[in-house]
Amino acid sequence: MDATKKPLRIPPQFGVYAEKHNLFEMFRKLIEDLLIHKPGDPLEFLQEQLKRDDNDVPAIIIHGPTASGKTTISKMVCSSLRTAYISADNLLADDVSATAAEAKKHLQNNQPIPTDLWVKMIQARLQLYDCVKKGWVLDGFPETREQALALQAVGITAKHYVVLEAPDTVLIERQMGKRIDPQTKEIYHTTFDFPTNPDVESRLVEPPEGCSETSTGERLMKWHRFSKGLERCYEKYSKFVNADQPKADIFAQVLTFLKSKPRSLAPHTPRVILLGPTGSGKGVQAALLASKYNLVNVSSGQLVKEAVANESKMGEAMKPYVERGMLVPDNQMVKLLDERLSQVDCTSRGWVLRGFPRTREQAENLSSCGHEANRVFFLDVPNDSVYERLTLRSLDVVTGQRYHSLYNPPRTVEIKDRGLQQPKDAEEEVRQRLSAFYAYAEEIADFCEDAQHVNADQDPHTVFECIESMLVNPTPKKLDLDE
Amino acid sequence: MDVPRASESKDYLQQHKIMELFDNLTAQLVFNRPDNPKEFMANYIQTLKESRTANMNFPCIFDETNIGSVFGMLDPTKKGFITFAQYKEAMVTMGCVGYDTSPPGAEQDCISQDTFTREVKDSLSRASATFQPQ
Repeated sequence: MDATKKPLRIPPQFGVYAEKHNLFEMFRKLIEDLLIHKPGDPLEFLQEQLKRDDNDVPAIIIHGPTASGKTTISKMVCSSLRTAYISADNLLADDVSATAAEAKKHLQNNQPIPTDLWVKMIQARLQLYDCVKKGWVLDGFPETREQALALQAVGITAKHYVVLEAPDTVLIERQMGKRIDPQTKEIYHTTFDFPTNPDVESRLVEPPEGCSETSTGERLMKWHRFSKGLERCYEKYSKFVNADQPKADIFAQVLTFLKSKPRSLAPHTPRVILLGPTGSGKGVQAALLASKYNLVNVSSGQLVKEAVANESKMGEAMKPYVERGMLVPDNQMVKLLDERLSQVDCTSRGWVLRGFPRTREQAENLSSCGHEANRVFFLDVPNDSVYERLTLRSLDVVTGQRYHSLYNPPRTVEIKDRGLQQPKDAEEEVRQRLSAFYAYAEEIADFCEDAQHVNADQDPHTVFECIESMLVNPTPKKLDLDE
Repeated sequence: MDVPRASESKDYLQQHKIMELFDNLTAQLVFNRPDNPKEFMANYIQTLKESRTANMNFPCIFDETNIGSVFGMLDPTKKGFITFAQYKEAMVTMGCVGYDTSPPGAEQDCISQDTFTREVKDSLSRASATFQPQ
């Protein structure tokens, strides 16, 4: 039991396991719930929490000044995510609940509804089956920081907070043209969104809150007074969307945000696979990632060469294939990688792999060895650029300097004349490698569902930034809609 | 630094031994790696609740044969005794809580298997009883 001779390590497979099942976040959520509710019997409480099937339901607040279109967007989000829609109006419209009746009494006496009453109403609503099961969208509530804090104190907090923003003048103009169909409660606009049906047109009335400039101004003042305080409550997961755009554009932006997951504090060892045709910059990106994030740079070709040079048992077995310029058989390759990726530096620091897998079968074999990547990137680059990048390269045989006739042309004609091309860069060779990649690209993409595509036809550092952002942020959630 | 709510929360965690509970849960998960960790954890808490009522059979990853083999490792020549230093080290390694720091035989530097087994069992069940003492 001498820890220096045989270090007591947590098995590396557990890291993969914990990540797969999101254990860190689960534990965090459980302890958070315990601390918020402080139940007398934590065991009973934890068991209840664990027996709930799914905690990963949407919890969204959509907010914004008057006439910013928050109700429209909320309803669109609700119908596409199939979540419950909650607004102050439909909470008050509840005839059964005693709290709603009490709140209405306050309204009739022209008094504001006290915060604790609001909290009670929302708490009761969120405990209903549809909210628990499918999630909820809260439209335009909480209105003040006080209400937001009160909600947080009882453990109600959103996972996403969306604010629709627009200049005041735009909002006032919008409000002035706002019309409501009293039968369907649909909202129309006299200039931007006029009903096509003449029956509806004849029914339109002005909204109950009035559309004069002064009343809108008053409500905008109220919004500006409280919005900063609200932002502070939700700053970690908020998103500001410009509301002065077409409805579909706003909705698309909101949806992209709702797909993103909040950053987690869970320990994260990046295990990256870079896939892409020859000349897409896999090597460059891998080197950049490895140096910035201290990852182990694993290249399948390099590994084979190392094994052969070391004259290891495995290297000897691979030697005949390498000498004939054939691909090493899958089972040997997977074994070689398994050996490399199981070493301590790879399991503790993470790795970035390139040049492998080339086929779906290889990808399957690799993940069945327990080396599952948590990020897969496809470097997309058109064939023309690949030819341009590779076939124009030349090497000065005298100085060993490398040139590229477009990006880094030789300075004199003399140097240009003695430049030689690597046989691997010949157009025919490149074409073969490209077609070898594209033959299997689709089936690998099929296997790696979480793969993310990067446009690699840009400056290397732009591509790197793009990859970085995808590496650091959690992979976006797949929302089961998008049809 | 210590706002009242923070210290209140810390007290709560300590009083109900929440952190110890989660440590044990993690140990169980590392060891078993079940396909459905949620269900597994719920079952673990169920057994813990039952043992709380019965005040025995606390869930623990070590059982009696494990304790026996640990002793066997420390006493490869089968003398039937281990030294006090070995005893202490074994207790720490197995994650025992509040074990007897002067067990019978400590002065002679030889601790018998019976003492060892009893101490480990007692302190392991103390470590597994992660709830507020009744």
